[in-house]
Amino acid sequence: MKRTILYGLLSCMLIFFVSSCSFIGGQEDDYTPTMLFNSMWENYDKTYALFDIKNIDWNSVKTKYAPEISDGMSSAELFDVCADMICELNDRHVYLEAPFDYCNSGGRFETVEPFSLQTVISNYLTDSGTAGRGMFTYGRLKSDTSTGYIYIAGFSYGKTTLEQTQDWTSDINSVLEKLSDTDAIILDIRGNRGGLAGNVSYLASKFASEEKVYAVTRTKNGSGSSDFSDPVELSVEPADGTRYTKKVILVTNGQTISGGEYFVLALRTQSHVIQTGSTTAGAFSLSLERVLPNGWRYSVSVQQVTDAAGVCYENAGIRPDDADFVENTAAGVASGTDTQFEYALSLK
Amino acid sequence: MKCIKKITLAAVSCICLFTVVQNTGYADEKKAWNADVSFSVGLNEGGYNELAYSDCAQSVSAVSWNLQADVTKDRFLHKLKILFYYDKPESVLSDTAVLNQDYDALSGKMYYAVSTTSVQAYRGAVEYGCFYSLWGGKQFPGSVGGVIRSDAFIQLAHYPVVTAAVSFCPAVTQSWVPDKENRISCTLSFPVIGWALRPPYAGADGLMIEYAEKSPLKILGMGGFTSLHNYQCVNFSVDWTHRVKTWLAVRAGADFYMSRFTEPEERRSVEINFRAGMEFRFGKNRRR
Repeated sequence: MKRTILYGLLSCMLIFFVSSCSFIGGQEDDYTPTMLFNSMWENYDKTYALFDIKNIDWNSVKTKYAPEISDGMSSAELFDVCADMICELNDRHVYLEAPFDYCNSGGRFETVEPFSLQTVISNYLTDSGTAGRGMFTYGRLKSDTSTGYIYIAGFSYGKTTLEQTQDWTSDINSVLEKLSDTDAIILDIRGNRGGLAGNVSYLASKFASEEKVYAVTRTKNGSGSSDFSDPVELSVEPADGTRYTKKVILVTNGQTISGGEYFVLALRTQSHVIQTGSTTAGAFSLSLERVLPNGWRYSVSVQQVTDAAGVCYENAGIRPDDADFVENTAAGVASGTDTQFEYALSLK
Repeated sequence: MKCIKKITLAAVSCICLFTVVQNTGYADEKKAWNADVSFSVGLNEGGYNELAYSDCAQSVSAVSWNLQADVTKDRFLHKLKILFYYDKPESVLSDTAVLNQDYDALSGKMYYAVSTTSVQAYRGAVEYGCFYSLWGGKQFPGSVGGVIRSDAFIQLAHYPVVTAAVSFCPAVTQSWVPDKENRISCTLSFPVIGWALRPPYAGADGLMIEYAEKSPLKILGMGGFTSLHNYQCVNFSVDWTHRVKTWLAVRAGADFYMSRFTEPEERRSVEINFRAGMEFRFGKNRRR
């Protein structure tokens, strides 16, 4: 009797468990190229937020590329078709990653703007150092020690958790204290790859003198082309404690992207900040990664982002005023001259 | 909707029945009570597929930590269960290395790197149940009651995906007591109404990021009402207790959990948690 009941219970649980494995789904061995292509296309169709802004007819994109898909094609061939499809979006926040290849939707025709932090450190700085786990590089100018320099490499470090503000950012306080006797700071975010909104807000608040709304976001919340959430305003407000509100010369370039561009939007609202350098990358939307059942990864831009006045800089990027627009040359950087940096210095 | 109304009505009726029976029926029963508290370590096997993230099944095999307390007084049985585990699930996501592109500011050059994504899964559940013994005498006691349970699932990968639910579940428990040393109990429950927090439609959104940055507790307010139309779940557990002293027992068991959230995208989850540990008895009536 005892054994019968025990065996009965165990058998029931085993049957439950085995049968429930198929309930989870998403098994990696039940896909075909057609299924992968359709899965990817449908995900963009449902969650990509910028079709209207970029004036893209996603159905016609499918009509264009679907005939190139066949279940007998190789992985490399499938990758090429999928890559061509996402390149129609021309969105630097959209990528496709496979074990053997990589494609950035906005990067196929990308030119990396000449810049070298090593050149800046070697040729222009004295008393340089790093802080914030290497995310900050700082120093003073050799030619004028009353001018400080801070380079911010990005707005996230390591693994992303639920926390939006990471502890390394607080090292900005010691950096600003070291540079507190300067008259101006060149704040360099060229090549800044972006990161977490909380880090952006925290670091922007260290250079803010007044509270301002700097961006408005709307996130896709349904499959319809006009299904967006209510707008969410992002604002910058002066930090408590250490902050720098003397002249700030913000240097950007084409590799300043995403959170780096939010930082630009935030600081442009402040009257003591001047932007110089060249136009930012123009990729603002929250970019969320997806996984195909074969392990390939791709990302989708799910937000529309504007500044407080409603201007959308997606693709266009944020351009400094014409008078302050400066580009580096490859030859200049190779020979140790950073034209953008030298122009920033002249703005002091 | 009719079905939901009927089930809700049945659940409310159960609560009313408890109240009436408690106040009128078995008033002459002995007032002795005892509390069996057990701590056990388990092996949790299962998986989930969070479509708000991707159609990618994550396989979980984790050490689980379990705390259980059964308090009996008169014909009432109060059960408290707490479960926690952490795992790095296996899937094509964690098993596939892919190429990506990054930028080196020192040299000002783009470069390619190979990366894998480490997925982390946190799971917690707290359950309180109140049961009333209605049949079976001392050898086959059976009880009905209600369970309030709270389930939380957090996945950290490229971005956090959080699901949390608080639900009310009608429940039934059946025991078999073959002798003084041994007891086998089964409990079945399924939620009928509740409150659930699910990821936004796109996986994350501006409001959630703002709350995460400024006031994380507000994220809980982003949840919504759930019932059988958008949340289906079954919990089944089996426990075997072997008493070696009046105050000490060995306890082993298994919990089977299966759930499906349908909004904004599906989340399917199955797990079986095998556990074993020690149970300590407190109270006025230590004799079984």
